[in-house]
Amino acid sequence: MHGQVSRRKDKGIVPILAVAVLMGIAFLTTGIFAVELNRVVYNPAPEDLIIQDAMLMKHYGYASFKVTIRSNTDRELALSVSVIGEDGLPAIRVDNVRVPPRGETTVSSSGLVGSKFFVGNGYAVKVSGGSDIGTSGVVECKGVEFSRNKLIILAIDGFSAIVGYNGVTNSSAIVAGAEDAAIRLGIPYEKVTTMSRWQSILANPMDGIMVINPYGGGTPVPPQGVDSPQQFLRNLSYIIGNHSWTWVHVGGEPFSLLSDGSRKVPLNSDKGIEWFFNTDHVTISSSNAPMELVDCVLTETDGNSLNYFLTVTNFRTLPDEMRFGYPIVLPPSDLPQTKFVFYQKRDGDSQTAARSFIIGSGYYVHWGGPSNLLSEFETGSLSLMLALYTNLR
Amino acid sequence: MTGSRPYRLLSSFAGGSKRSKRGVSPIISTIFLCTITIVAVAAISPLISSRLSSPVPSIAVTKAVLLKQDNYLLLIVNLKNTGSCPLTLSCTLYDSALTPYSAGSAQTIAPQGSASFVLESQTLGSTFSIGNEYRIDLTDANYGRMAEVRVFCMGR
Repeated sequence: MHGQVSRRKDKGIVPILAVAVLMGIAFLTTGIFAVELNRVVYNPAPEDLIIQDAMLMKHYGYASFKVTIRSNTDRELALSVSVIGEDGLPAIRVDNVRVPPRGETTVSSSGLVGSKFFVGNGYAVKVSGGSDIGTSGVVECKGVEFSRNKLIILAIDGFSAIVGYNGVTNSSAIVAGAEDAAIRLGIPYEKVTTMSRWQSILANPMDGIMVINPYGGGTPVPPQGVDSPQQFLRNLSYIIGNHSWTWVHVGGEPFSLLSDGSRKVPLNSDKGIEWFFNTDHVTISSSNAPMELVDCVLTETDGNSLNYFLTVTNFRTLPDEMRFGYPIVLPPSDLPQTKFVFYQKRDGDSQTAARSFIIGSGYYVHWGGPSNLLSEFETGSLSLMLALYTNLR
Repeated sequence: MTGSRPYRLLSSFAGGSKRSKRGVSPIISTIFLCTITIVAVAAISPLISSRLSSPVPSIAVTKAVLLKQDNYLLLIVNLKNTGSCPLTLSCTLYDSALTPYSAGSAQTIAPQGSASFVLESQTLGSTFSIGNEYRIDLTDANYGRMAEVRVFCMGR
C-alpha cells in the first residue's frame, strides 16, 4: 500500500501539467473569443455634445451671445456655432470653437445684430462639428428693445424702373437708409424683394408691422389693385386700421401710381390719398414753401423719444426749416385725425410736409419729400424714426 | 480455504481492483485530454469565427433634435456605427403627410465611426408643428432601413 502511494506521488506531476496546459488552452481560446466579441458588441457611452448654458442679450441695436458647450467625446472638436435670427438666417456665427476631449468651452460674440432678434422670443442655436457630430438648442432673447413691431421695407426687384420717378430719385438709397436705421435701432426688418411675397403679406396681414414704401407715389399692388385701384386702397386702409400697421410714405404724391410689376395705373393727383383716407378734401400741394420743424417733438429725451432715436442712429441735427416737394393740405374738418406734426408751414398747420395720421389702430406717416436739405439715404432713416416715434408715443 | 469459491471471487475482485487502479497512463490521459480539447476547439472555432467575421450591420442613434422657428427648420441626427461593417447611410425626415425630406447626402460610416445628418431649411418650418411627433428613417444602401426614430418638434 505504501509503495503504491509513493508511485502515484512520483508520477503526480503529469496530471498537474495536463491541467495547466488545458487551462492555458481554455484561457487562450476564451481570450481570443472575448476580444472578437468585444470588437463587435463593445458600445461605450455615446458621444455627445451638450449645450450647457446659453445666453442671448439684446440692447437695442446690439446683441451679445454666450454659450458653454460640453463634449462627451475622446477627441478634440472644432465646432461652428450659430444663432438663427428672426429671418431664419444665421445672425451670429462663431467658427473654429475648440472643445477639448471630455471638456467644455465657453464662447461669446457680440455686435450690431440686435435687429435680428425680438426680446422674449426663443432662437435656435446650431452647433455643428463637421459631418460627424452636432447639436442644437433654443436660447431666449432677453434685454431691451424699442418695439416689437416688425419692419417691412419694400425693395421689389426692378420695380422702380417700372414706376419711374414719383417723388423719389433713387429708391435704393431710401431702402439703404431705412435699413441702416433699423440695424442701429435694433428693429427686426424684412426686405420684400418679390411681388409674390408682398402679395402674400397683404393677403395674410400680420399685426403691428411698419411698411416703408421707398417708391414715393409708386405703390406695389397685387394684380387686383391695378384692376380696382379704389378697392385696393380702401382695403389697404382697412388692413392698416385693423392690424395696427404703420404705412410710411417718403415722397411724391401718395398712391398716385399703382403697379403689379407688369401693368400700372396712374391716378389723378390727389385721388389715391383721398381713397385711402376715404375723404375727398385732401390735397397734395407742390408749393415748395418753407416748412418749420415743430419743436415739441424734440422736447423729450427718454428712451422712446425722437431725440433718442436721432442720437442712437448718429443722425445729424434736424434742420429747423426745409422745403418739401409734396406737402399735404388737410381739409378744414381735419380728417383724418392727426397723431404728430413734424414739419409744417409757418402760418398754421393746414399745410404740413411731415405728419402722422391715425387710421383706426394703425398710422399713416406722410413725408412730403423730396426735401432740399436731406439726402434720400437720410430720408429713409428718418422716415423709420418718425414711424417708430408715432408708434411708441 | 484459498481455493474456496468465495475467496477466489474476492481474490479475483481484489486483483481486478488492483488493475483498474493502475488505469491509463497519466501521459496518455494528458495527451488524450489535450487532443479532445484541441479537436473541440478546432471544431467550434470555424463556426464561431464565421459568425464573428460575417458583417454585422448595426447603428445607434445618439441624438435626434427637430427645431422649428417660424419658417426655419433644423434637424440634427447623430449616430454611431456599432456594427462590424461600413455602412452607407441616408437620413430622411417625414412630415405628417409622409412627404420625405432628405437630410443631406448619404454618408459612408466605418465601424465604430460617427456621423451627423443635418437638415436646415428657411421654408420647411411651416410644414411642421410644435409638439407633434415626426418620423425619421435611417437607411443603408445595402441593408435597407436600419432604424426608425420618432422625434418631437420643438421651438416656436
